[in-house]
Formats: sequence, C-alpha cells, structure tokens
Amino acid sequence: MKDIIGTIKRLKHLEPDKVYLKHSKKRLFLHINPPAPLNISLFTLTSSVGICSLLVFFLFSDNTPPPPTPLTSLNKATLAQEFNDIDLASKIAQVKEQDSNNRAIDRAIQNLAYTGKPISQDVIIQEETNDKINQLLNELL
Amino acid sequence: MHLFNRFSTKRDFDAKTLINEAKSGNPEAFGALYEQYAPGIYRFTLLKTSSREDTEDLVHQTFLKAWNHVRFYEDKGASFQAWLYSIARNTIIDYYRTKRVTATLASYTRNPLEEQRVFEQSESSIEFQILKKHIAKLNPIEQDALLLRYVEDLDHRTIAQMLQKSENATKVLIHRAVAKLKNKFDQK
Repeated sequence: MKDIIGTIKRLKHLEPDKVYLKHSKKRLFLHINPPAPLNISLFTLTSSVGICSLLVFFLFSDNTPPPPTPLTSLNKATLAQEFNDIDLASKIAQVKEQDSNNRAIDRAIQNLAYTGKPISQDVIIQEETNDKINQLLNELL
Repeated sequence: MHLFNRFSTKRDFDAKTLINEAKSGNPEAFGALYEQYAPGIYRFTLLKTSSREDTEDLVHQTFLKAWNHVRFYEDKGASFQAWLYSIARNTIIDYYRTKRVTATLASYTRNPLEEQRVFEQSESSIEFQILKKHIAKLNPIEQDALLLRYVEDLDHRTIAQMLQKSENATKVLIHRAVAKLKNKFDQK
C-alpha cells in the first residue's frame, strides 16, 4: 500500500515549465490589469476635435455667395416638357399682346387723370381682357 | 511594480497579507499568489484533462474566476489553496460538460512528446504511464480525492469540504481508491 502511495506522490514532480508560467501570468495580467488608457478625458477629446473642425471650416470655407445660376425650371425647354400639353408659344404671344394692351390702359388712365375725360369704352374692354390675362398666367404657372 | 517585486519573492511569501491585498483589488498581490499556486493548479488540471492546450486554457480560466471572486473569499476553515482547487475542479467539470468528452487520465497519454516534456523530471516514465492508466480507471471523485491528498498534499478535512462529504467518508473514499490501485498493480 505504501509503495502505491509513494508512487502517486511522485506525481508532485510534474510542473509546468517556467516559460509557460511567465507567459500565462502575463496573459492573466492583461485580463485583470489592462493597460491604463490615455489620461485625456472624453470631454477634452471631443471639444478639441470640435474646435479643430470649426477652425478648419472657417479658414477654408468660401463665405462669398455663389454666383446666381439660371433656374432650370424656367427654361423654355423645361417648361415645354413640363406642360407638354399646352401650346406654350401661343400662350406667350397672348401674354405679350396683353402686356402691350396693359401699357395702353396705363397711358389712358394717365390721360384721364390729366384731362378729366370719362373712361372710354376701350378701357373698359381692356380691363375685361385683363382678367383673361390673369387666367392665362394662372394656367401657365 | 514596487509591490509586485515585494510580493514576488517567495522568501517573503505571506499568504494572508497577499490575500487581503488581492481582496482589495491589488493585481500585483494576486500575481504573487498566482506564482505560488499556479504550478499545483496546473498539475491537478493536467492530470484531469487530455491536452496541454486545454490545461493552459483551464488554468487561465481558473485564475480569472479566482480574481473576479477573490473579494468574496473568506477564510472559513478552508485555505485559499483549497478554494483555488475548488474553482479548478468546477472549471474542469464545466469543461467536460460543454465539450462532452470523457474525463479520463487515459486520454492524457495520447501525446507522447508532450508527456515526455511534462515528465522530464520524473525518474521512471513507464511507471508513471502505468500509474496514470490505472488512476484513469477510477471514478472522477476517487481521482480527485487521491490527487488532492497525495499529489497536492491537502488534508482530509479540506478535501472533505471540497467534495462535500464528511471527513470519514473522504478517508474511506481515499483508502478505497488506493486499494483499487494496488489491486490493479498486483494484477499486472
């Protein structure tokens, strides 16, 4: 019996090698005592980044307003495409005509103001057509 | 590092101070405890598992668990060493539970080169091989009791606490395990 116990006791000689022990201790320390983070608070870090971004923005940004670009939506082609079921040319001609009529009305009103003559029938007719102009413009826009 | 140097000298090894330091979260103190107890835990784990890689991983897990729970450790009769062996034992049980492998010492003999490296300090490799083979035929609790008593030098009372048995039952268990071994050697 004692021989058996003596034999078992000799298992005590089993030992891990020192290289393993060193390595495993380092590995353990990495888990239980991770390397300390940089001594910069999150607030300091984010504020610094923010300030830098603002500086870069103000230094390199062009504060002059951009040159006006023609509105593509008002191009003749675009309008024609958008309102393809409207005869745009004829409408524009009507508007132009109406515009000249308006000027005639203005002149007539100015004359009235100076001469005190009663409003002619032509002016009344012109006012009626003005409503048509508005209607046309509404249709166009 | 100063503390580590102080604690790492085996001459000044004072388990109580180190345990108290480790309990208050001092990793250097725990490192010194590791140096003291890791070889035993390694040996115990190696004799219960099949490969060096698994053993190293299990020892690492054991000490990591110990570090995470050391603040709850209280000396209630069982030594810190016994507490560590209990953690190692549970870690090994979990390992076999998850890996679904059989806990045998026989499987340990699979890698002769590794065995040679581990047993390089032993006098008679053949004798040890036979011993391992026979120990592997004991049931796990007999293996634990035998190894903890005669290889790790724990007393009956501590082993009884670990195995959750009475001291007498533990003595009987160990005696029976030795008798079984002797019987197997005699059959040879």
